[in-house]
Amino acid sequence: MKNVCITIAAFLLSSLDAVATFDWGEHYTVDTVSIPKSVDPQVGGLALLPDGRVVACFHRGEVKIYDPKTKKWSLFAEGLHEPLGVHVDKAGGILVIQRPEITRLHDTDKDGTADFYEAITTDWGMSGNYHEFSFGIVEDSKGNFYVSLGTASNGSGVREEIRGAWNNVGGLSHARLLYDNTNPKESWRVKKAGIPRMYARVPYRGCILKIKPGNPKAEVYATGFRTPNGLYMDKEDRLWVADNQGDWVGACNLFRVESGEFHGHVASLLWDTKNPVVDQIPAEIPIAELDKRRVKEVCFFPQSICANSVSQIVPVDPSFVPTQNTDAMMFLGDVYSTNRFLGFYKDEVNGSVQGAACHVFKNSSVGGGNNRLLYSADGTSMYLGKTHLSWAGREGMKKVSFTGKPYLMVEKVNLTPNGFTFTFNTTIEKIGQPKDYVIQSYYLKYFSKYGSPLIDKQKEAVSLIKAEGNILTIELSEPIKKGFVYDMKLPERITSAYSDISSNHFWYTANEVYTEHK
Amino acid sequence: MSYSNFFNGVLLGYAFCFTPCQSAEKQSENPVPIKKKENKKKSAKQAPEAFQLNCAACHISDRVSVGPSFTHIQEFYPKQKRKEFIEWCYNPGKRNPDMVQMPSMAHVKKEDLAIIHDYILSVKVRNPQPLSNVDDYPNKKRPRVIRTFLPKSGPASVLVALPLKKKLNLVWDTTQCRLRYISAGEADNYPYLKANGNALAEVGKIIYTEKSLFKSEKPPTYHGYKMKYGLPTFLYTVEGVRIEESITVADEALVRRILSKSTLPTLNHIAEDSTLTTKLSREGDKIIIIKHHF
Repeated sequence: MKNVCITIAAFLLSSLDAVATFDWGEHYTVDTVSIPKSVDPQVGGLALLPDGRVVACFHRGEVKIYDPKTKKWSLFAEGLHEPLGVHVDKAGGILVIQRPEITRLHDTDKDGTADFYEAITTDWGMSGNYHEFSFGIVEDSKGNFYVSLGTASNGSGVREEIRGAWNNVGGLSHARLLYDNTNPKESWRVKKAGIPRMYARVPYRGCILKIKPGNPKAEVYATGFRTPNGLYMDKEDRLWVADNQGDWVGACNLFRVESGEFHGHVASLLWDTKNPVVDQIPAEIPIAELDKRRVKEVCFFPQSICANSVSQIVPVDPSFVPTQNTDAMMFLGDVYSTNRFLGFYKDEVNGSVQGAACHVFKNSSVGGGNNRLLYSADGTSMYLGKTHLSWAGREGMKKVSFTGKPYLMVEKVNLTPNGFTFTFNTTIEKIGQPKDYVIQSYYLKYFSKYGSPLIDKQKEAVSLIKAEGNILTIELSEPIKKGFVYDMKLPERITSAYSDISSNHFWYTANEVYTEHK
Repeated sequence: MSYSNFFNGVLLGYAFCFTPCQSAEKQSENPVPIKKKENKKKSAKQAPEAFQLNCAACHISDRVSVGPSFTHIQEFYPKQKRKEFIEWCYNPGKRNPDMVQMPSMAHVKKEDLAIIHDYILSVKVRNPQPLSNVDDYPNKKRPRVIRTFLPKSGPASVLVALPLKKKLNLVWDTTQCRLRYISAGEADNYPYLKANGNALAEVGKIIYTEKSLFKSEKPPTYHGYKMKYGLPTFLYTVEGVRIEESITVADEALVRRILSKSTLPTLNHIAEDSTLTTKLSREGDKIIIIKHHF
């Protein structure tokens, strides 16, 4: 059956006029950054020093500095506990987040290696569960730091000695989740029955924390996250975070964080500041109540077809792409997709920030495992730091450099009362016919299950397409459905004086819609 | 064939293939094969969507990740064991105590599990990595200071592998701000790394444990550590007194110097062990020296 389908589809499509395909390799070079052989080359963090050198932190705890001019690495610090973020502050100081703390690394005698590992803050709980990662660090204009804490997984239990007070709300006691994997009589498989998929029983797991300068106490800034691996502070001091598909998270997503609010993943409701859960297991709260309360994601990245494990968010540097109009865009990494990562286009409808995802560098040689993204000092290159931990990623580092040769790209994706507009960086042609646009819509359910199927999936008929200079307008026959994801494949043959279209598949999350539809 | 019929045929092809075989849709995104510039190792065969959605995050073809590799699955579940494979997916047991527990695939239809099984069996793994303990980045140097999950200590602890012939190690707890124990033997963080944090580092044999040095009502505050010659000096505050505890070695002994600019808090009686000679001496009220001889 499946083979028949593939044959029919391939035959029909190969019968069309030769479809143009865009080659990222004509506009970017991809070089491997060699990492010393003694280092497990899984990258947890990348940051830029004022002099253009790159600071990288690695899985086994090394912090190394890379000089792009000499292509040499030097060891700055080591022994850290799974550092998953490095940040260079405004004064040029190096900070790292590791499982137990934010550490400022001082080189007081200026010999090129850190001699003081200062604990800036240790103010969060650790249960010893393997999945409790610590991510970050971003800084706002006032010098406050923000980090995000992953939740524990019911793939395993917790240790006897923990840091922070255990929260046993709903009867989920420490004893209940205790697991000694050296004890042959203990079976976690038996013990785990009835334990939520992800849990947050020690302080602030699943939360974003704000740390004020010079203050070792952390403040809960927002709750409701599962494995928030990508934090980003934009130019307007607004915080964004990407979360990973799982229980309560229908697909990898992107949030614009609302201070003090709950963002959907229930485990961290125990630590909420506005309205903490004090009398039941959070997963047992009626979904309607949770749904009403949560801040919605601004964008979904449908699992597997769009993304697998969204990671770091960065702005789009105008030196890295053939346009200066990059304010509406971001790039995001994806740890478990290969030879592609993600673009995001911000839109605003009736006061709701929402937007569209697309693939970038698709079928290029950027490889997979893309966990950390960092621009070079001049912005024309991007370093990709890769990891897998014990999942299906990759390792090492690549440097992607823009050749300067322009290509056709989208600058903005906007919802309209009747459909969408795509604003390109140059005049477009060969936009084809409505029939060439493959658009479907579906929605993702908010519930406790691991990921959501694509519900009410249906094809959308295109009633009109037109191009006016660099703006493509698509109108649909049916009104846009609020809360649906619009999965839109534009024809690959759309072209311009620069090139054919570089990214043609977009996923727009229409949390809000315009009411009039003609 | 008229133009409109032709395009209807295309749409029909899509609609026909929509739900059960989305891999067709993916292939049709790029009907002209693109020359991939690298990665010749990659299998030309595309994993079925059911595998990508449910299994790919934890199972890779040629190495152990969260779960076993294809080689191991092929070994345990050849074609004749289709029934057992499906049963395992619905009701996963546990073969490896270090690995995290596989969640049930109860939400996956039997037909899809069969497709997944067929796919796994069809992949020829060229260089399978063994399920056994090979640390590609061994680190046995002394001194070394590593933070990891350690036995009989809190989750925010530090292992100090000392440069002594007897291979002594020290474990220091940053939450309780104190030495927890001294052990003897090779210390190895690989069990922790191999299990992605679901196992503890090995520390050898614990030969000395210590209670809290100072009497204190309130929990201490940890400030970090300085490094000199590869060994740490821990900085912490107990009962309002800022303390520096340096870890050094001299004449095959571990020497801890605990000092403060103000008067040290009241000392507890510390344990003495017969396998490790421990001598505590004071220099005024601001310095304590503890020597441990094996």
